[in-house]
Amino acid sequence: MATAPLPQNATPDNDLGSALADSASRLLATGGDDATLYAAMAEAGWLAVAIAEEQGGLGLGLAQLAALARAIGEARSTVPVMAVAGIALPLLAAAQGKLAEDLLAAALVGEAVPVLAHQAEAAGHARGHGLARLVPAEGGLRLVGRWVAVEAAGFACHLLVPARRPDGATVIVVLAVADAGVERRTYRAIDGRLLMDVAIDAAVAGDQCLTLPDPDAALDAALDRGALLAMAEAVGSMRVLLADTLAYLKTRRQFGQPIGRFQALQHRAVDLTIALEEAEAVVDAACEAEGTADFGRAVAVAKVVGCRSARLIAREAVQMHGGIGITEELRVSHHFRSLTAAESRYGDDDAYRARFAALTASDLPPAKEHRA
Amino acid sequence: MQAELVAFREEVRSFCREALPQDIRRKVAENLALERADHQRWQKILHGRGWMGGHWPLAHGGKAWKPLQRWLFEQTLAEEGAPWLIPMGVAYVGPVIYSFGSEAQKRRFLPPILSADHFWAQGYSEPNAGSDLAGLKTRAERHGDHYVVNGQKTWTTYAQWADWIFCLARTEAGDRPQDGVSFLLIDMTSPGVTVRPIATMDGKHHVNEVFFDNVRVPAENLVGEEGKAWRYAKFLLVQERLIAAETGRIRHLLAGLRAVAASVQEAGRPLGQTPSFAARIADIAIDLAALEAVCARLLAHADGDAPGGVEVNMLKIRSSELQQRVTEEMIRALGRLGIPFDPAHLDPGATPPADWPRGATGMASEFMYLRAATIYGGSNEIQRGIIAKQGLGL
Ligand SMILES: Cc1cc2nc3c(=O)[nH]c(=O)nc-3n(C[C@H](O)[C@H](O)[C@H](O)COP(=O)(O)OP(=O)(O)OC[C@H]3O[C@@H](n4cnc5c(N)ncnc54)[C@H](O)[C@@H]3O)c2cc1C
Repeated sequence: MATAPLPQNATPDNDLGSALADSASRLLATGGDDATLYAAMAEAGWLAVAIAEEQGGLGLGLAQLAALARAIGEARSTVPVMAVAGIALPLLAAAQGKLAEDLLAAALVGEAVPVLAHQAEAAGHARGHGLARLVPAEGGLRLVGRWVAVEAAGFACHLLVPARRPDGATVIVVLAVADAGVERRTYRAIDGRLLMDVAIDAAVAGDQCLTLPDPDAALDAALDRGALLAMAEAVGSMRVLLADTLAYLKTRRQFGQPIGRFQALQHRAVDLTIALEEAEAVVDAACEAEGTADFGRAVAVAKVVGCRSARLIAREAVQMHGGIGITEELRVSHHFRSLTAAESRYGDDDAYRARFAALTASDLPPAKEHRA
Repeated sequence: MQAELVAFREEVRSFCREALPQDIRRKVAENLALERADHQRWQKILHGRGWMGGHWPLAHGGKAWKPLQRWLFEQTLAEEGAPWLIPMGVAYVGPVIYSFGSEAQKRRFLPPILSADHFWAQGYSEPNAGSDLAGLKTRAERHGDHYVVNGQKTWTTYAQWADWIFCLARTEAGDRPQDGVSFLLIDMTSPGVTVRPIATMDGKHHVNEVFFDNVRVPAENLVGEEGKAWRYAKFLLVQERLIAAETGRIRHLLAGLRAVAASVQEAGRPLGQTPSFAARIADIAIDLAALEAVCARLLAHADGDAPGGVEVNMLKIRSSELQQRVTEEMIRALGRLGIPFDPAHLDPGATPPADWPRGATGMASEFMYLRAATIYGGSNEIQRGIIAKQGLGL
């Protein structure tokens, strides 16, 4: 089947960036199993991209990581590298103390794989609900909670588990997945990723909590990065689908002409192009907003617009391919599945629409600006 | 609605509740893979009750149901969780045969359709003849008392189960591409017929490629006149779109959506109680009510086999879109689990984790399969084209 060339990413403006971009095309083209790829990505520095130089990282920021995420999306790779590089590691980097430092250092060289337990079982997409409970018990503390759809099943060796202390404060507990009292069940998601349910009822020591100045804010930022990177990966899939669909419209003939001659399809192809443009722009804008007070809202925009574009492009790509669009033979159906999963990763658009409304209502930015 | 029809619907409902075997009911409820034997068992049960081909004329073993009654029947079956009545025999080729076939064909082919002893497949589409069916290339050359058929069909639903396939094949070159096409009934066990499965993203085996390599077909298996298949094919397409209203299937899916929305949690409460989610479920239910109203009004005025106007094309468009919307919301709910999907769980013997919503894997499969609802039976683009041209004169 026709495999159309994709639009080229903008050339990175630094050597490290272009080395990474090279590694992305090289690694993702050669393929291999997820474990081999993960190791090669760690070797190439992917895990270090968003970590500051003084903490052993490359200090290239979220935008650079998003470029890699886009490449992962284009290749439809299931390597859970973003769950580590974009979510768990920056969370560790925000913490002080030896626990975080040691784990971060081990993770950067690919020796430890920490992931965030981001979705409590009864929470759905509602942030902050149903967190694990950290309760005093004989001889120390007990951590009790249930999590679903935890990423990097089969890779993760440490879990970062958000929990509530009896006084209501949020803490993030570090557990080894091999610890007693941690039960995992691995399953495959629609996009081929391996996820796990985790049930925890484990004894923990006081020094297993990360030292964070504001754990709630750190957790919010981690989830925002997760949502944003999921949309960056989705942009990769959207590019492939749009390119393949445009190519198909030009080559598939019915009624003696390419189906792309039919105006009904032309106008929709234009709408897809606009949708991709928007998705790329909102993802870029949110990356740029990293570290500013507007990050949360920019991510909400990226998720809501990204989901809308993903849905439109995924469904139209299948539709405009006709029967062949639903087959395993073409990558159209594979990217369709990836986009379906991307919509709900780290919260769906309903959740981010609500979050946007809440953030906008609480800080009333235009009024503040006017007063300043 | 007339009292008799209401009574009939309740009779069908209670029959389903008693007569539908539990194992089949479960497979349908959880959207697991059904086998030919499951369909056959259920169809034989319906046949025993005299309800296979109820819309067929009395002379051919039917009950001469009017379209409205047929719709209620099929809707109630689906709503009660019975398997889809595979249409290729009873809804498609059967009516073609009793309308255009020879007496011998009627005697030979109609009874085993009603008794579910014969399964049929529809051999229309080809790799280069999808929307543009008239572009079909499969050839049937007359040699004495038989035809020799060469070519390829594709997207052939349940060819893997079929005893017979009805095919459109070119018997002569005509002035227009529609001319010179004939309607042939081909025994799937004939030498030279090969079926190859097509893997689709939903993980179940629905569609196939069917190859014909010098397949000998007795001339008596030609339906109607040679070269006049277009007329029969058009008649059949109307049948196809009429049952495409599939309101029963939507009702059934909607019940599944409500169940999953009740079992998946959002902020510690059932997701179905979240205002945005509840509003979308309500929207779907409202649009279903509208579709049923359109159906009921249209069918109440239809007397014969099927109403022939572009209204049926409207039903197909709306119904397929609604089927997709229901499953899209299921997926949104399952997004809270990352959307588990392992095709192995579609096997009725598999045991997915007990704490997952019932039928989660089947829902994901159905979501993917139903992307095809706006493609098969004439894509929605083609439907809209027909309405614009034939209905609106544009
Ligand atoms: C699950 C499934 C089951 C099926 N079962 C059967 C079966 O049992 N027997 C059988 O014979 N066939 C079957 N089909 C085939 C089905 O009828 C065709 O897929 C359908 O007619 C579309 O043809 P195509 O796939 O070749 O797409 P194409 O005709 O190539 O169309 C590709 C895209 O172009 C659009 N398009 C084409 N022409 C126009 C136009 N003039 N204006 C605007 N848009 C246009 C289409 O709508 C579509 O979006 C099945 C298909 C599927 C997916």
